[in-house]
Amino acid sequence: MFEIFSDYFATTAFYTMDFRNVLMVVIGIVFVMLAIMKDYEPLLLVPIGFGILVGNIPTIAGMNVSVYDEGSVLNYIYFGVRQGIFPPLIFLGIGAMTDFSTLLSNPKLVLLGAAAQVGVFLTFLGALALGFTGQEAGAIGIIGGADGPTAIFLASKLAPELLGAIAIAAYSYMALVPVIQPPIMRLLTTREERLIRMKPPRAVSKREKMIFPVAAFLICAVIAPGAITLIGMLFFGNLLKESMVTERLAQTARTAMIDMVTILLGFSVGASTQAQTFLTIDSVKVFALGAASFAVATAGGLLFAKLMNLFLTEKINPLVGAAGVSAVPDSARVVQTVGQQEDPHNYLLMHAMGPNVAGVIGSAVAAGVLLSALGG
Amino acid sequence: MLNVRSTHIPYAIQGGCMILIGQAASGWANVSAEHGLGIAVTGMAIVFSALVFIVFFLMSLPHMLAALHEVFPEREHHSHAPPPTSSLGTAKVDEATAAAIAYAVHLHRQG
Repeated sequence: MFEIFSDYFATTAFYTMDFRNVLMVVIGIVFVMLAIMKDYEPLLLVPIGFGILVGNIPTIAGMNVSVYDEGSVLNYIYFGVRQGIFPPLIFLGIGAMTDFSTLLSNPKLVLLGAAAQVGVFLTFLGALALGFTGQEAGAIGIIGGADGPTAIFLASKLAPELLGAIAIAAYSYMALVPVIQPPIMRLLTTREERLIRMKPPRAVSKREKMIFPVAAFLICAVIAPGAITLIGMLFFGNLLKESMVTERLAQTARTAMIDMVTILLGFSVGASTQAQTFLTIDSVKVFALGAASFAVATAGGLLFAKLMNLFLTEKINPLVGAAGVSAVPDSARVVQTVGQQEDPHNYLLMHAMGPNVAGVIGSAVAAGVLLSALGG
Repeated sequence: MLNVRSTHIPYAIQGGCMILIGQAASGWANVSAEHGLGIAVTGMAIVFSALVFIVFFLMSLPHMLAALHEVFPEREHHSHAPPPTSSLGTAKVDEATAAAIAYAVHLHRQG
């Protein structure tokens, strides 16, 4: 009797858990608390946080329940992450819910979405300098794109061993956009610049909205074929929305489908962060590089907006450059908030949405370039 | 340049033999060995060129559509949304009518 109990006890988490698992459980709880109490990206942090709890209850060999056990339920769910299936499906939903009107009405703001990608490539260099391989560095660099699905997609292709750390870093920093960006925005702009008011965006015709996803896909796919999966799904989703004849499909893509995929992706990514594989020096480096990439991307967008102002007669508020990191729509909201702290009647949100969605396109193209350059 | 995969393998020469270190180099040596600078600069240029093409396209789009409008004027678009149902079936009852109905029901129940 005692022997049976003793054998059973040896299989419980009381016996198998070590301090690293406890630390990860605490991190999972912090994620859930941040989501509930601070409203930081709750749709992502609750599934990821709970997934961390699930992934850090150690299991013994033969139980076949862990995310890394072949044939386990969690392993099947994680298949969608490992093979890069979930991120394009999320892009389909994002496309179906994105209105590109602000981008269409003021095309020059698209360049800010390109400028912010400097964060991706400088972080790529930083990761190489820290000793990561080219493929790992590419996967780490894309954190600067501030786009969780893109980061997961590229990491699954280039550096699966870093997937958990990259995914957690990308989503954590996305949730922390309201904390990371404002100091950089204030540091790099003067009060006069933050007070600049921009012309209201022009009305965009339905035809323009319908033509845009097809044309933009063709342009991006021809220039960066590695991006066709992400870009293709993004613009396909947008065409479903704008064509007006597939409203049912668009509705499903932007509601039920994206919600289901987000749950599965968030939960399984969280469950993949087992302390024994997650708590490493490499993960610490990934988090440090991720923070740097967000800062550099924000600065890149801001400084490029200031550079554009040197040549423009109708000045743009440089704050909108910070929205060039994708993180839709949080970084655009941050632009609005920081702008209104100087002038409560200056509404920058609509202007910031242009670079914001351009950042999504830019980061997907950057991911395609890195995949073409470094992918096997 | 972008199709070049790095085959760099860190090694050291000791006693005339080439020995694999088994650990990636770091610093500028690793950036150089992995063609980091080339990939970064080319990558940034590609991202910019893709988005610059989009900018040019978007700037010319209104002009193209204006020309197209001459040939194919924009019509009221058809939709696959369910057709609106008869207003009789879904008409909202205003407050006065609802009050009158409720009062009539109340009187009816009182006999």
